[in-house]
Amino acid sequence: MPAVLITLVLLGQAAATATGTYVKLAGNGYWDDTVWPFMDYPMYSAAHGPPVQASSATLAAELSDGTEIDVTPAYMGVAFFAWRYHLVERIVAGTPTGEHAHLADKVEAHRAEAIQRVVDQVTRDAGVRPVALRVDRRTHTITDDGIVIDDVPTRVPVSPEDDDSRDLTEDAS
Amino acid sequence: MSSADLATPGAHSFFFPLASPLRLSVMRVVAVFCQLVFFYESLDYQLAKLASPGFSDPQWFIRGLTVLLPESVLRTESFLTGLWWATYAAGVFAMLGYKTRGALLLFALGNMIQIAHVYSYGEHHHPEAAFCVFLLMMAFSPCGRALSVDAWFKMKRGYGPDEGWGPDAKLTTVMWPLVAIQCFIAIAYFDAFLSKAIVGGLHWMNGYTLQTYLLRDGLRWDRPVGVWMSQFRWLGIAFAVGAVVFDALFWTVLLPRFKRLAWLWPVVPLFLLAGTAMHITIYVAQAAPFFQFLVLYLTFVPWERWGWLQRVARGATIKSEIARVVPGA
Repeated sequence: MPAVLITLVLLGQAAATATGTYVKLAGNGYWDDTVWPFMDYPMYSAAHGPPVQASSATLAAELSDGTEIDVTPAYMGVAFFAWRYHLVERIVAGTPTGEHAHLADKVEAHRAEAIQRVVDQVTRDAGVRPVALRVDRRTHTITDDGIVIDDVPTRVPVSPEDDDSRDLTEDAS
Repeated sequence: MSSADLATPGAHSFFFPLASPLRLSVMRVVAVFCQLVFFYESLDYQLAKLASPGFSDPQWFIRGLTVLLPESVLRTESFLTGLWWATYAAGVFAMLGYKTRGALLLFALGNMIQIAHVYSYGEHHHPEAAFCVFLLMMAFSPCGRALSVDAWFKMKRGYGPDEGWGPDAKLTTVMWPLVAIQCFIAIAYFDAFLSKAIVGGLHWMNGYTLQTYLLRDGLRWDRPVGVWMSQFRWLGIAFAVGAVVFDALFWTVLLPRFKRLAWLWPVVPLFLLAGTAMHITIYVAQAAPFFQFLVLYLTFVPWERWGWLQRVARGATIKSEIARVVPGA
């Protein structure tokens, strides 16, 4: 039994390593493994050159009374990467043009879905529908003079077409 | 198949040397304790996943399980709650060493199902895999032969080293889970090296690369230390070279297991200290918690040589230990 287990475990991990390596060597990005606990370990493997840059983003919901709610991953109940790539990036995604123009409908559908998820969560939490969502994207660049921050705010008005706040107030009463 | 069936005598002495069960038993207590106290995700974390409409990236482990248990049962609050508590209870039994192997098998499988369940929604992390494999392998080993309720009962009934119980026993089946997991993490580190070599190439060590990662993770996870460190290119170069050398050569810690290469033993503490420093730095600067690997490093420690552990395993009480150190107490 031990010999069988040792063989299975070490061959399993070696196979995962070999598969991940093959996918990378073939230029197909990273292996999308589903055979946990055997995994590829490609984290942080890409190289970066100057300038040294990183972006950060915050997402906020503006209410009609002027107050704001920080829409963080914890607020949405999702992991950071789901928040960043399924919500923030989709909300501010540009409309594809040129050879990618055919994806425009998909991008818009993703944007509408992301906005709706945030609006639903804020409406549930605050009891009122937000009037807009604001995404502040900041690019941090390391220079000889320290870290320079370039701020790009994006405001996305929320359609008032469904007056959920009134419904919620009535439900609550 | 018995342990003696491994292909070569070299492999046999590598995985199955005659040894005391104490080192394995210490690792059982330490690993299960750490999993229960530090690494076991909360029940709420599991239940929060039920808000998703379904699996987006079902792991093979979960796919296999759904053959026996349909998704409509698996993805329910009652099943996940029962599984969480059953796994926790099995962990307590495994740590204390009561019905050790069965308890450890349930504990390992319970953890693996829960982690595979979370990963089936598209969320993947890397620290848990080796640790779960280690828990599972221990379930098939005599890890309860010392420091356990099972051993205590057996020794009370007259079983001793000749029957394979207690810290003074010598067995050929106690080292293989420890050595196998050491091989497993050596492959994982080498995989990380291959990824850097193939994807990043030599540019990976240009300094800018680690500066970028430190800045990005420092901002993302609110780690001021990472943001501060990202401003020094020489630090980026030094850490990058260190990380590549470490990942590429970690497997050398296995060499002293061969008698002819026993003189290489200093590489073991060298790499373990370097790995500990690396993972702690990564955690402080980038919030990447690879503490499971640090616990697995403890498999290299020759616990069986520690006198007080031997005495505890032989049934010494805390009172008798104090009396030994402080005569007259």
